[in-house]
Amino acid sequence: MESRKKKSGLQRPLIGAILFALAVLPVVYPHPFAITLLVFIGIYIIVCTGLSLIFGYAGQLSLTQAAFYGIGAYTSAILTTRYGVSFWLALAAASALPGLIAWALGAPILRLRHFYLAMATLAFSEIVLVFFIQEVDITGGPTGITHVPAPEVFGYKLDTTTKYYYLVWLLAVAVVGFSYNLIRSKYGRALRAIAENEVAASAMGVNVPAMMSIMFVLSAVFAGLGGSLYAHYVSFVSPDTFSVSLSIMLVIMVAIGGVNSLWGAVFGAVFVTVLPSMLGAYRQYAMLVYGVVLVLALMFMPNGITGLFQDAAHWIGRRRAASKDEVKEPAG
Amino acid sequence: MNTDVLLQFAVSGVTVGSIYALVALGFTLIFNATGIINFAQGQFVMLGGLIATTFANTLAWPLPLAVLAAIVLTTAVGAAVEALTIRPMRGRSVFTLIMITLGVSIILETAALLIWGTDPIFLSSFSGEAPIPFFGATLQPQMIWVLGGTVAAMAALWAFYRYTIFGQAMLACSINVDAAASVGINRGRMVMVAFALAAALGGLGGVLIAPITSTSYGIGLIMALKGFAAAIIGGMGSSLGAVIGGLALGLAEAFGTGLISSGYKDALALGLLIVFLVLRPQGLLGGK
Amino acid sequence: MSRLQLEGVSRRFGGLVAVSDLSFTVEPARITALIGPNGAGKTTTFNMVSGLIRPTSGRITLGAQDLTRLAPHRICMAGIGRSFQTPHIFGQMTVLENVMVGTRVEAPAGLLATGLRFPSAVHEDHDVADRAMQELVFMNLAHLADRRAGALALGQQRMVEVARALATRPKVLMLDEPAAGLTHAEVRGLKETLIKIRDKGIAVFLVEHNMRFVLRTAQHVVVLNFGEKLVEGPPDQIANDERVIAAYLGRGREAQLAQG
Repeated sequence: MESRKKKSGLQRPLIGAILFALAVLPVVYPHPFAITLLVFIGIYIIVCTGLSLIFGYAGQLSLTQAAFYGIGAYTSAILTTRYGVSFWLALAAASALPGLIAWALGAPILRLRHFYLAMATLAFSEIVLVFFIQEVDITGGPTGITHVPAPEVFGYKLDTTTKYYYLVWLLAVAVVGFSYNLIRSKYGRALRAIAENEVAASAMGVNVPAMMSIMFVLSAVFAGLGGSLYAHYVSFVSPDTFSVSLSIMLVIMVAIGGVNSLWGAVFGAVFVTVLPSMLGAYRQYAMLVYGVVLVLALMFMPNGITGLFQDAAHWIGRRRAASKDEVKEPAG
Repeated sequence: MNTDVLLQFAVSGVTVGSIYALVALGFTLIFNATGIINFAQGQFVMLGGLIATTFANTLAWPLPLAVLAAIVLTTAVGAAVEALTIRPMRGRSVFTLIMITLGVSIILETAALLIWGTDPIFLSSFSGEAPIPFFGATLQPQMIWVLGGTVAAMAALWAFYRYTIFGQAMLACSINVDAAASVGINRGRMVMVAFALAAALGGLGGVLIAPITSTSYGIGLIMALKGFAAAIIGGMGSSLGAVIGGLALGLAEAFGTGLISSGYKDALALGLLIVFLVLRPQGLLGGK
Repeated sequence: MSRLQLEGVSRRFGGLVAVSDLSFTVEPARITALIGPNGAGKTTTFNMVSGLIRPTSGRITLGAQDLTRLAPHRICMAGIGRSFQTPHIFGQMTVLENVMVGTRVEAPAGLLATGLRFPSAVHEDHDVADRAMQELVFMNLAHLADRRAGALALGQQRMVEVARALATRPKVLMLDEPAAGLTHAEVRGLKETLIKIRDKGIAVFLVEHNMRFVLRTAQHVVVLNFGEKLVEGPPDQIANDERVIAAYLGRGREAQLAQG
């Protein structure tokens, strides 16, 4: 128990420093490009955190995240542009609808495993995309929906990138914090147990189908939330944003970042947002780079980028534990 | 609706279904040899078609030579994919293997985007465009090439299974993983042959269909999904199932498109995939 | 106290009958052993009780509750805890976390309360850690609490599995070959532990190969052969039963022939 306290003791100042940096950054360094990039990073962190619950912790490869992201974006866009619904209500609906769909879809398909779950979720994503393109009356078809309004919060219009930045990061921190609390609770232990050994988990009283359904729904809710934030930020939605490649890319983000850690989702979101902007005119190469990095990462560092840090921490921890055991072992 | 129209649907359904069958056979080959579902399978279809267009359209090679070169090169890509990304990963988790084949799929797709651009490209038909009357319907000459090519490929695959030691080892392997070793076949080489053959089948599908539907960098993923759907509908692991599943899916799509809506063609096929995965994962031919 | 009862339980796999018309009772506060030659259907029986496979026919009850068609986690919550023949430890988790997975059966805090870290959830997490620690102390494993479970020796992993199963507060504790792969000293320790568990009023139900261990530890022995119950009774009676000797010796000779 001592070591668990020690770990949070190390992490807390780090997290504090990051939060402080995020809070003062737009004041200290009001560079529009950097702030814009950070808005997208914040949105992707929300979406990736959801993915890392079902994919990273429960070990189930879900390739529907972009579809839920899209459903959230469209829900928000449709409600605010056509029905004049307020931003908060639209945001709530945009989070709830993907959750409901995930709940209904999850009951049959979460029984599938491995390749089959991946293919089924991929197929579902394609179907959603076809819906976005075909149902012109609802979704605006291939051109999508424009003039999605900037959100108004208690009469205060978030019409600049900097204002929006604070909204996005407030929610991103809330989502990451919520997920962090979950994964270090009994839910997280149950998920990791499922990922390691489903049979043993169920024999220890873990309701495997319910647990997977909860996490699938939660991942969809976060994706929808991210989608809504995206729609109100860029002010339009169109089908090509939510392509199946995005689902694959999001999974890659989390995999590259490291599947066994929420930091993996954060690293992944940063990596995949920053890289295309760094490539500038060679943006098209970004996907090629992701593909190559993914394959190399899987081959040479199976725990992802965060895994490297964890391995280092483990190594240090083991050396400490070893010296502790030398004292303890004869007694025990 | 008159029977001529229905016959026309059937003809185009069988044509497209043949391509799905070829992709499904590729899935089956690799699945039986390794237990892996290769997400990059559809990219071989894309590669076959696009490489052929380069040789035929850009380099002005004679069409038969261009087609042959495209299939050979695609086969080489398949073997290279196995050697570079699958072989070093032996013994790793299923999950890692899924991610690897997804990564390969993305690499191939993006590479194609950079080489060939985004515009769809046509390959000229193998023997002209003059339509051939077929009872009340009409056939494009290329459709006959598709059917003939598919049948020839299936015959070749059958002969491979029946008459070569490699093929027999592969068949044995699909029943018992250790069987290959017991007949003296190097398992690593067998996996490579499976990838190469799967790529050849995909490449063949790609060149056969390119004159009808055109081809572009982005068709790989949907082809993989449809081919996988065909394999699941027929019963994963069975070659006969792959063919039946491919034709069934092609026909379902053609009639669905004709009778319901063309926009939902892909959704229909993928909906069928989900339904089969959930309700009858063993497919039409599977026992239990 | 509730007893575990099997009534006419059968299981077929295709044409093969793995377990046929099996009936017996596992009493509380008693160590019951299920023995028999390889392939006699012991593990199949265990898996049916814990819900991993369903009986083709028959009924399994714990006290008044019918377990026959329940999902594995429901059976666990009804009061059946188990270990596995090959350790099914959660290797990447610490020993304490492994045992904490078992305790969540009775932890009520909901998703929102947990995610928002309501005081109730925080308390619960502490309670659960304490409970898990108590089980580790009971099993003499407390010094390993923060070790990665996958890095432990086989014998220790088996004991962690027992602690994990105990954390579910079982009425019946099922152990699949707990003595396999243990050293002599560890087997002696296991016997004492099982007796301690029995003396808490828990029904201990084990499948075991090690006959000496069974005859010294169990109060009641059920012998299976070819999926059917050959005989049941106290250990001294079983040790002298001609049918049991024949079943074991017959198999022994076959095994010797096969090896030679």
